[in-house]
Amino acid sequence: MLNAYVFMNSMIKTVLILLCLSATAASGTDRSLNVKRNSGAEGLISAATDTAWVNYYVRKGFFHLTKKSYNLEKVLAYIDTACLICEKEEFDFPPSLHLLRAEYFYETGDFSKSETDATLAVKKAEHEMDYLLQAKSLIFLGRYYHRTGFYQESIDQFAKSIQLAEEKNLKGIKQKAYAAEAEVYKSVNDLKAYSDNLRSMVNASLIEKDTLYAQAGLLKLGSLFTEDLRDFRLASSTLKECIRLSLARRDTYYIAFAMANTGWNFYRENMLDSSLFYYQQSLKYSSGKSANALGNMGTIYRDYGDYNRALKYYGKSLDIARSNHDWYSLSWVYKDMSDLYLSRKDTSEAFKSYVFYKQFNDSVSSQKSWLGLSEARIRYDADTHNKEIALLSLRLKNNRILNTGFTVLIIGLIVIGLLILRSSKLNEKRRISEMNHKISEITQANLRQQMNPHFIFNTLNSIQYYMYQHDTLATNNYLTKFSSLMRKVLDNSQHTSVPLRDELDALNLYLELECLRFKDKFEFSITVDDEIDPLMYKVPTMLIQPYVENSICHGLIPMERKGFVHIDLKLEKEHLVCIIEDNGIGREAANEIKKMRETNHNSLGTRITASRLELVNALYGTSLNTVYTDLKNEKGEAEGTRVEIQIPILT
Amino acid sequence: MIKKLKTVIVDDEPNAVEFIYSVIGDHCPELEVVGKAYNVTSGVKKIEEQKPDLVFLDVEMPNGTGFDLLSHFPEKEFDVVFITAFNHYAIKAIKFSAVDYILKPLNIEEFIAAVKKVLQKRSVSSTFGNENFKVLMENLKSPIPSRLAIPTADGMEYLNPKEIIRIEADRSYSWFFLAGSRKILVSKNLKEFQDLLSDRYFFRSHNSHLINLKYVRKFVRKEGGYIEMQDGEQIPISRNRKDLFLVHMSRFKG
Repeated sequence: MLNAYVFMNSMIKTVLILLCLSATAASGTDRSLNVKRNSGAEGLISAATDTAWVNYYVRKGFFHLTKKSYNLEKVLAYIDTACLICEKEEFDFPPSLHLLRAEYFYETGDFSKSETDATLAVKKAEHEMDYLLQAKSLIFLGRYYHRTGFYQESIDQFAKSIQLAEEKNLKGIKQKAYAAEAEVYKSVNDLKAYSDNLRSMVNASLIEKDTLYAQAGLLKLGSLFTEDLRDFRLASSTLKECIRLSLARRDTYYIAFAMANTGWNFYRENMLDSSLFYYQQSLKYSSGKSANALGNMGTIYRDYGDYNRALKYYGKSLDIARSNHDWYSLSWVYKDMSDLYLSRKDTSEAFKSYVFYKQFNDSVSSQKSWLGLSEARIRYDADTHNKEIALLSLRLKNNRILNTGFTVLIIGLIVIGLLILRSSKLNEKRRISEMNHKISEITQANLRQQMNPHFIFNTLNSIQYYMYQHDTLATNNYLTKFSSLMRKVLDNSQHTSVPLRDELDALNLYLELECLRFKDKFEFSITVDDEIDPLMYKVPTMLIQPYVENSICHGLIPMERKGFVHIDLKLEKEHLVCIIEDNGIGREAANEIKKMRETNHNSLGTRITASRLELVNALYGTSLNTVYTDLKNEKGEAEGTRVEIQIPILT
Repeated sequence: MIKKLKTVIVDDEPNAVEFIYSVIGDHCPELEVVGKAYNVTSGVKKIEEQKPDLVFLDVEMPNGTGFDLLSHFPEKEFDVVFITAFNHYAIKAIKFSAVDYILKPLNIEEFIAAVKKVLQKRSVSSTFGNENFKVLMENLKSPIPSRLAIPTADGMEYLNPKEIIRIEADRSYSWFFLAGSRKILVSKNLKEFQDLLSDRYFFRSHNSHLINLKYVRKFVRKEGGYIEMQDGEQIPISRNRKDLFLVHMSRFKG
């Protein structure tokens, strides 16, 4: 049956297409830009330029970027020109230019540059007291972190921008920040926080009378209460509010969608009459072109026992879904149809429908990657339809010659629209696959951040010492241990997960080498539960080692007496638990030492480890965490640290 | 008999300390090791007790860095040679401040050369390069070091890279052209400065020219191409570097 999101997702595409059209039309006016740019590159100097020009180019750049016409080359041209002027005229890049660059690099997938520019935009905007831009840049940065998987950082940025908007009384910021923050919580599947943020988004936009954001927020909330956080009353009151707002704005897209959702909400309570009424309304507002509403009406008639009417609606729904390439609707309508035939004991038809269902269901999973596009498409359909109506009424006023002209124009528009739709679909697919590739690269780089170079070179130095002492046995022992460790690390880093045995072998070698380096400053042990078969259980590569290194460097080495570190692996229901316990100076004392240090720049290691665990959670849909316990003796003095890492079991 | 230099070794790893100790025993008869320390606190104590002439100092130690140790001696009366295994950030700052350092694993020849350099320096002046260390502490405070120490005819000069318009090679020497039409002759070759300044919008336009992109006024294509700087000087540009120059120019953020 229908899931509320899909209908909405079928829509964003429209804006995209109409904007493509307007961009092609506008391209004529851009010739002046090209001329300007050439002369700039020739002499590297253009005399009569100033901030106004830079601002103008930045505005044009944003225009092409935010309208999602994806004319990135044009954006780049504007950026280059603006940069050249700034350099030549010797003034600092304005923050708006940094933000534009950040958004451009984000689009092209050049993430590190994007981050740099966005950070600069925030700083400079703050410096110039352009708070609106600062807030916008913070939101962008938040979205950037969201996309790259640094969820906590992302949320921090949004919080900052909200705070800024409060302090400086900025308009149009809070709702955007809440909306984006909500999406982050949705990504991590924290539905409570997701709904809280949506609620804040609605409140913020209502205060500013920004109905567009208010209805978007209400719609999402409504969908959430209809589906994941099932609450009939809340869902229906939220959706009612959304319908009220969108009726006032005559926003047919939202009306249709909210109506359909309300229909679904009633259907789930088995209130078929009300459900049918709302689906009819939805159909009316989507000009009879909603596969979703039609399909659901079919199902309602099926439940009434009116099979002929049900089949008629299913048929209509399938026609529209097919012409829209709406695999999702095709799949569930066929599924429902199959159920219907089955209840009428018409097994051959049931089987036929079931085959179709399987077929389209398979496409749905591949389609999910460009859900955003299908959302735009529905909006496009609605908009072209509105246009058609406007044109038709014009036609009545004009004579027949004009009639044919308009018909040709409409057909032309539709053809161009469809062509662009096709190519943008391909583009989107390519963009997403590139994006995923980039992300997995970043992931890999993170995962390979494994052996601390500081440790490597110090070990080599120790080996050299034994060599210098002509202690061939010790040299040989040390060198072979080191190469075994390096070999293990290199082997393991080829995979994102390895059998527990390999991970423990590497850990054991690492610990032996550290013991040698620090001349028996500490002892260690590794114990594994009997239940765990170290060859069968796989774990993420090199997840434990950084924690052990932390224990040694910050807990044991600064200590006067001899230390120990015990590593203990246990099996729990759905994950492994690794307990690293030391009798070192404890976290408090270690932090004291850190504070005392004049220069402190190596917090990177712990940050990488933390974000790796986050990544593992994101990759495997787990919610594992790390628990630190400060060990104390009877007198309450620090007596070491225990770290418990929950490790997912991978197969 | 010449008095031997009293030496202290500070490193968190016993092996590393023993290694330096043996190398000194075998190759540096001018030095006498009077103390070994394995962390910042005991290092400070040893130095206060022994009043050494020279300290070999590890940069990265678990409970505080070599820099932290030095901050206990703002007016130190000893020379320092840093020993470091791996820390890009620290090495960059050390190089920028023209302070001596050796990398791990130790190259014995380099080690001996560093000791020779210290001995030579002590024979001509009685200062301990304390100014360089103050600059080092300052450079460590920001991710990009802000003061570049350069040896000149009459001592050291500390420049902000932003003041440098360009550097021109003159055999193994380099001429620094600074804002305010000042110029200095430096007894190091251009390559070394290119290494230090490459990530600071300095561009090697020609075999003997390193220019600061901030001071470029224009690029002229004719007559084989040249760059005009803001002080009016015309700097030649090699044919194969023109495209690269334009790329660098377009990335330059000021």
